[in-house]
Amino acid sequence: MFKYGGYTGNILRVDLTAGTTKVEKLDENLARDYIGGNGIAARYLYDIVPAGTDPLSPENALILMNGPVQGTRVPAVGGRTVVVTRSPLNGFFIDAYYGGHFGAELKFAGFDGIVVTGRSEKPVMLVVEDGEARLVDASPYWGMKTFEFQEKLRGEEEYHDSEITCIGPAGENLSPMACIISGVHAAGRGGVGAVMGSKHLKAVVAKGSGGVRVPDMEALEKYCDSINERMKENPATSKVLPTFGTPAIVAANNNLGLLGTRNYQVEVFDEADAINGEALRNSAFVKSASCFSCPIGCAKLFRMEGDEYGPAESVGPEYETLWSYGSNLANSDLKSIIAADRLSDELGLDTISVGSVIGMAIEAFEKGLITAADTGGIVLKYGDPQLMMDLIKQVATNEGFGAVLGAGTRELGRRFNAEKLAMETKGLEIPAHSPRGYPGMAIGYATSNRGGTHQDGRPSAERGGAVDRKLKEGKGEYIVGVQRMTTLADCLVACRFTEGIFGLTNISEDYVDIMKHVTGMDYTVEELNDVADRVYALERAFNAREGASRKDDTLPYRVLNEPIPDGPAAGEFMEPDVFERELEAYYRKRGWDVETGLPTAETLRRLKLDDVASDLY
Amino acid sequence: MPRLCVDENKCTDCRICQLVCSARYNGVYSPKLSRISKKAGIIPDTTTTDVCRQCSDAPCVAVCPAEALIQPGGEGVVTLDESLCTGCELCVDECPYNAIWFNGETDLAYKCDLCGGSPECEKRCPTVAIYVYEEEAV
Repeated sequence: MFKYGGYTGNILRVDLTAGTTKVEKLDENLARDYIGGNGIAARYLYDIVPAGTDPLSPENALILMNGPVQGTRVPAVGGRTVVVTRSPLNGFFIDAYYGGHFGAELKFAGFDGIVVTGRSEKPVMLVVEDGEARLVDASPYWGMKTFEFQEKLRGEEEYHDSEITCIGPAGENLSPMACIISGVHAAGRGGVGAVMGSKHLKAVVAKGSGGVRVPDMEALEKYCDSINERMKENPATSKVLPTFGTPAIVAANNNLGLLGTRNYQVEVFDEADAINGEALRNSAFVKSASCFSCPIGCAKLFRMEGDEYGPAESVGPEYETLWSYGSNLANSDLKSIIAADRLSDELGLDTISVGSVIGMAIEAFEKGLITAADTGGIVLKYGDPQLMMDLIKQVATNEGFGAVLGAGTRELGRRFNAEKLAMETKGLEIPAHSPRGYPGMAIGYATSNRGGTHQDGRPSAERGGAVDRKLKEGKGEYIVGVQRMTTLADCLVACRFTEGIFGLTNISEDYVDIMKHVTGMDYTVEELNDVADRVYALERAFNAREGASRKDDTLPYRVLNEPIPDGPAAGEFMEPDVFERELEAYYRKRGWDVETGLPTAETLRRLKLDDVASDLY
Repeated sequence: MPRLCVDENKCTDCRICQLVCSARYNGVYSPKLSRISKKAGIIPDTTTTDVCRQCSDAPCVAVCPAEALIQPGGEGVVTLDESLCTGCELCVDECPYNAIWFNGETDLAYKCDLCGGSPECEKRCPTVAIYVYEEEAV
């Protein structure tokens, strides 16, 4: 039995080229120093994927990892999984997370994680069950959309009580915007689905009859009860999210004048009322759903009659998608957004990146930078739901203009001399939290190892008023604390909706308590900060091997040069000199070199990353 | 007579009921060891739950050759005396609601006994989807 509670102590190694699987023991020191999820996966990736590896080659690794807490009742944490790989969209480190039940089932099936390398000749699926693994021919399923596939597989006696993680046609076609789907949940960002597709791996299927052991069940159960009580007292986790889910954020941001509209040309969407949380609740709500062990139930099944855009039934759209397929495209047709959300899940596409690149392409078309000759004759315009549906399908084919879009906003900018319109950092599209109106979030985008994600830096404290939203002074140092919190939460594979309970801006004593109760390990907050810093520095070192440095910690042209033109937040943007000042404060706080934007050798050694220091210096 | 009921429209498939059940009775978190079995579709518009209905004149009691399943007077909660259970699994096969299971490690059957009157699952269900329903005696 593994030394610490929560873990199975087993990592599955899969070589698809050789068609072999092997169970290896989890290193106890790895558990202590990296905890799990993001951390352990980052260490595996750094160690086994050499610099310069083509993300879609057999040599890249696709890593699925849970953490010590998955499978337990710790609220809003129990079922999540992280996918870590080298991104085919931007070539950097990517960690993409998904909710649902898979992370717990993987634990019950006997594994803390799966590391896949190689490429199978034929389509296969990996089946893990009670400590064992096998590769099964998936040729009959290749080409299937994600829901159709999962339902078909669940219909087979052998798999009826399994949890499935899979790709759809977009992943099979190697679209750099392909995601991975489990149930109705997506590991959305960075093209992780294309990496899975490149390995000819249609699915990973988990079923297990095992259990998760902890040092003192009674104590943990009491602790979970106390967290639940705090969740009941918090309006976000007790009322807003259970009632509306994330669509509640549409009105909040639009009221602040910070709802990206028409590719962030403006940040007020006049028709936001048609696509906000109230509209969805009143006209489309069917049922709430939860991830494993979560009392919040933020997932909402929405359904509208009429299938002119295809089935308008989906768990979602979430806030991000209401922005990306809604305000960002000046589209207020709610039914089309639900249908587009469903279509994207079925094809296996990241709604954030797809909506962002479509919004950018339309702007470039209106400005004459892209013409009908480039689009195969299609006229691109805002507020056209059918065009949106057609382009989503094109992106999934990864052919023609769909392939041009799927290569991302950075590539689109290069191709059509439209760099100033690209809303990305490090080649990953920025989501729905305004970098002009949330300065801390802006520095979070710039310094994220992934690029434009709202899951390293966070908008929540600025949006909710826990910190002064408009203040820029000190936001560089501030976002270090936020990123430490998110990185540690990612090692636990915890949902971001625990942040209002466990702390928005720093690692709190709650994480000490969780680790103590679940694993039996004693940490101080300072030691947990070190874990977070270790993981973040390691990710940065991975990127550094691929050529990344301070030059890549940037913001889009629009954010640095074009103030928000009108609305309640008119005039707000990130002045370049302020940005550079805060960026340097950020580096200093992290113990990184302000010239290179990389951890110093001294910092790496302090974090027990001596081998990485030797690699970089 | 009391038994657990589930309002599937309220159930969000969070499985907390299963977790608190296995935590209490098995000392581990393991849905497969809980006294409640749950299923949901890929699109979670429906959930289904298998849990003991504490049938009157329960067929599991009748079929048990070891008299390990006990229901005084043929009414109310069916309890299992583990010291008498031989692990023959006849009750598992007999249950019309698939609500008795067999633990391969202990070689014993297991089923819901309402935690002696105040079930953990009812106390912890965030949406009050699972609850004790008290049927009036006719």
